Amino acid sequence: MKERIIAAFFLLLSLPLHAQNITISGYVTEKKSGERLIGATVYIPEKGIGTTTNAYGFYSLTFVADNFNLHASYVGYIPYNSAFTAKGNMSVNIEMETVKDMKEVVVTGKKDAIHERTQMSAIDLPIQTIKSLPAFLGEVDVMKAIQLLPGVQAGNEGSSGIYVRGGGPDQNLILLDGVPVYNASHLFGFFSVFNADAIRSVELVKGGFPARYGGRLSSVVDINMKEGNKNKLHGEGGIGLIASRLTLEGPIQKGKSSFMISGRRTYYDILAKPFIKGNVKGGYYFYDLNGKVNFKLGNKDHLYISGYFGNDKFYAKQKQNLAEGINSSFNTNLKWGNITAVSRWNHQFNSKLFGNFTAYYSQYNFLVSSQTKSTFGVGNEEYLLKYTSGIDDKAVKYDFDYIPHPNHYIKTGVGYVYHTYKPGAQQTKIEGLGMKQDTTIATKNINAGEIDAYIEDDIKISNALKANIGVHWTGFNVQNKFYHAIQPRLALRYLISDKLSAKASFVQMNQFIHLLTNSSIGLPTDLWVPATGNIPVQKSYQGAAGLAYTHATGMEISVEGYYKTMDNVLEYKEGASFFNTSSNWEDKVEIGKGKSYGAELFVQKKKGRFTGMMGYTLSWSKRQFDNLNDGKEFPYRYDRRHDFKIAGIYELAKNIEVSAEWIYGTGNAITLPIGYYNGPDGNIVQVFGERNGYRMPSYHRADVSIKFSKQRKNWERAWVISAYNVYNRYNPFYIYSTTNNQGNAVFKQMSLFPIIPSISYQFKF
Amino acid sequence: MQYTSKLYILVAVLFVTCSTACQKELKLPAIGGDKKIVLIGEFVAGDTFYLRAGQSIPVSGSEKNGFQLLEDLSVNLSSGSNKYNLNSYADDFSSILYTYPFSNAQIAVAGNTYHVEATHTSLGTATAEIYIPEQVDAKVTDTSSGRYNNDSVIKVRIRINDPQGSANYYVIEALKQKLTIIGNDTTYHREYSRNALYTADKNSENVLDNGASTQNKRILLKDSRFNGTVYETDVYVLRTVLTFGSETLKGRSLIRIKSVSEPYFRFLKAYEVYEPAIGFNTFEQPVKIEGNVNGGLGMIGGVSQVDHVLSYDP
Repeated sequence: MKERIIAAFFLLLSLPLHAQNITISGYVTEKKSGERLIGATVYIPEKGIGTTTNAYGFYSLTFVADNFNLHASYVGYIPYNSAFTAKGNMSVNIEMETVKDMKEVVVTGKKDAIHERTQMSAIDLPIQTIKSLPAFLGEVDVMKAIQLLPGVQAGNEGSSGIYVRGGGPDQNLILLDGVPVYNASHLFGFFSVFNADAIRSVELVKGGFPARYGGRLSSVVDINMKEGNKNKLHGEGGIGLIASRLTLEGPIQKGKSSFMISGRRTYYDILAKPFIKGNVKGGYYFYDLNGKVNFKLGNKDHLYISGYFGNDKFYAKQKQNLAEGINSSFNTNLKWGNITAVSRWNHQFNSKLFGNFTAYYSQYNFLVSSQTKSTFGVGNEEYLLKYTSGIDDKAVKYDFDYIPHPNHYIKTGVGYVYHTYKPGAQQTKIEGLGMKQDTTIATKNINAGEIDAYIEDDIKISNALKANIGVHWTGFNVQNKFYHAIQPRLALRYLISDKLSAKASFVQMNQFIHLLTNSSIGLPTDLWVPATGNIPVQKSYQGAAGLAYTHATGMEISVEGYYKTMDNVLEYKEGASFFNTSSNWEDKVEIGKGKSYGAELFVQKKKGRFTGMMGYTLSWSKRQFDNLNDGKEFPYRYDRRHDFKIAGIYELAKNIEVSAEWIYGTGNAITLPIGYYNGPDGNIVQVFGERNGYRMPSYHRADVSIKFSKQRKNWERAWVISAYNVYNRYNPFYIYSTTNNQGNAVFKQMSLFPIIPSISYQFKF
Repeated sequence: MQYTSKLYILVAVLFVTCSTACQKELKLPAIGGDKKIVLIGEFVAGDTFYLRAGQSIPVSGSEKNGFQLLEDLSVNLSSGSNKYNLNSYADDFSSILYTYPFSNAQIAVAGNTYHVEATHTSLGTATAEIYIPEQVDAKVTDTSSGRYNNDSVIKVRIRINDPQGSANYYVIEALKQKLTIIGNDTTYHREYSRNALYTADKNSENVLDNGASTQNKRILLKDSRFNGTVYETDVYVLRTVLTFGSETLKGRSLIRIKSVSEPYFRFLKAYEVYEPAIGFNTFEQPVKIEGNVNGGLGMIGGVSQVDHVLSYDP
């Protein structure tokens, strides 16, 4: 089967090319800032051909030599239109201007419409939409905006984690400027690490993955940072209830190079300081720092260097003078954070071939420590407990875009990643009063090498039929074992009319890492571990089919059905946890399989005075492990039969914008006790029913927001007032059992967030 | 001033709304639990047969969440063609644990399998198979005082001669046994309280599941990593003063080393990692404690054991 697919692929590649063709290529940029635009549509109406810019704003079109009109369009920008006389291969760089008023946008760009694209199960979220949606405590959150999309579930109340098409939290490849971010959350998942002011574009792919993506089963979240304004110093920031942020961007050398730096920090610890009395000090904070510089090295070369640095820290300290000469101190810390650094060098080899070299580093570390020191008249005593875990990646890759003919858009590349997994080390140090012990019990670091290679071609077979055919190969070398997987990818689009198309896709995905988690919250203690000699590689097959329709107003509607299988998914054995010093975490996990299937409806309006989206998902997600639930299949915790989300943004007046969203989801699947008895030590033993056999109450809430902005001479300011859970719904966070006043057993539900109003101040210059 | 007081009222209303939003009683789902016979006990090689029996509480909106004694239960024991009746009586714990003890003067024999059948007119029949392992070959070889995890402890070194071939399961406990001394007569009671233990042994299930800094009720070891060898392990017993509430009721500290049947080991492992004090919540997947009672609930373990009396100044 695989051989046939590969043979068909090369057959299509060998379709004859026309010798008299000319090629027009270049970059699409924003005129004001000089930033390159990703996914802008460039097309020639009279030839009926078009393309979209790649991740670096590059496009290339080849056609029979003739005079032509070049059009370009991008949401939120005034369409570009210019006539040219054919003079052989040409380089045309397009600058696009933003519209002042979204009402003025004339919808001319049809080639980027959802029904035109071969890619299915992918949604790009305009950053302006993300920033306009109601924000929890005034903190705009990219991941929470993604949770509004169909097929994506949020997990628990307030969490920024995502569960896509029945997959687990580890099955999402979250990329920041092409670098994987392993723990994308702050404050136990309540906020994501992505500062929206530093972000330029966000795309979610949840199925029909093109061959360029690999390494995760369920989704790719591709986030790109702003490049920085090449023409003028510009800044924006905000002051909120829990955090403040500031972003600066501007030219290093006007028109040629630029920088962007963005920071955010919470100040709960600073605000709480005056209220903490006595000798106890404690607090919590998180911060993010994003930075990027880019240099135009010539007409054909461009260099980007960017990075992210963020940390969360809880701390508590206490010093006590117990008596004359007797002192005691206590110091505990809980700290986790990510670092990413990436350098990318674009080179345009010719009008049809574009290359990009990437070298990156990504790190996630977790540390918890507790130290007690006592000083006595006769000596000192010290006790230290420390636990660390983490993951490091170092990688290089080269990607090519080759556009030999309007009917072919070939992407290919190769890369190598050196992973270092640190599954956990615990240090226990005891010193004093005649005793000295310093023990470090650690699970050995595991090093692994991963090679990826891919090739894909977006082929126009006829005016109605397009296909994206590709293959992704991964080799993974760990502990003297070499895993490899050839993963075929296929996506088809058939135009039924000029507004409606049918789409289908089939993909195989392999994942060489696992996330060990025994909690539903998404804690920083969750542990990344690789496939090893004993723990196999995760594998999934996903098939999807659907319809895509673009209305004359630009409103996009899609309906999709999908079926996905997942092999070799992991769960902790019952009762096992991360916090151990065992030499072998592999003894603590169960290996099983899963499947999910369902249907999704998505409506999105990106243009006009009223913008918004609506998504509905009907789905099933199940798991089966030989040693759990007596080997019987059980519902996944986030098996959610119905999931409905609607969000809208309306420009009420020139300076007033209102937004609202409403979310409904079937309750999470949980395991409940069905009885009790007295155990061997007189402790009550709970008898549990079917695993995940019961449902929490359904989840729903509405959020609203209003933004008052004012244009000053050289700057703009805005007040944003919002309310989370505006009708004060008691949504379940967790459930526990207890006895009521009548002596009967009852379950009680704890809710986390009632109505939470917030206000924030924003500015731009 | 009026605006200020209105603001205070608004803040107060918001505060009340927020604080009451956090907790809510839920209707019980239709989970349909029934009352079941519960059998709990250990059959110890060389000792008489003894177990406790009662009934469970189903989670149901119509049931009181309190235990009740189970009357008119009959319990029979058989091994091969031999059949015995276990006699019930009430003791001091019956009103605390809501179980009656059942016993028989016959002696349990290592290597034998016993069958227990409990019958009740309304709760039906519950049965259990209990295998008693061969006599455990283990002893305490050394003790010393020290500190572990910032606690004052007695370090106890234990040597186990593990038989080759068969799978063996070991449990180490630190107990204080009640005794009475009247004149020159000392009486030891079948009444114990537990002393917490630590272990740093990487082969123990305790370290595997909970780490080396957790206090344990029992240390659990299976011989899969030391089968057929002479194996030494250290446990750290908390130095605590245990009283039985009266001057005449003294106690002695014991280290008890047990070889247990495989189902009993699995039960104890689940029971050890399960923390009853925390109770149930939906954050984490609960630990299912599987017993060996068919048609009922609970566990009757098969055990062979040795005791070592621990002497130290509290």
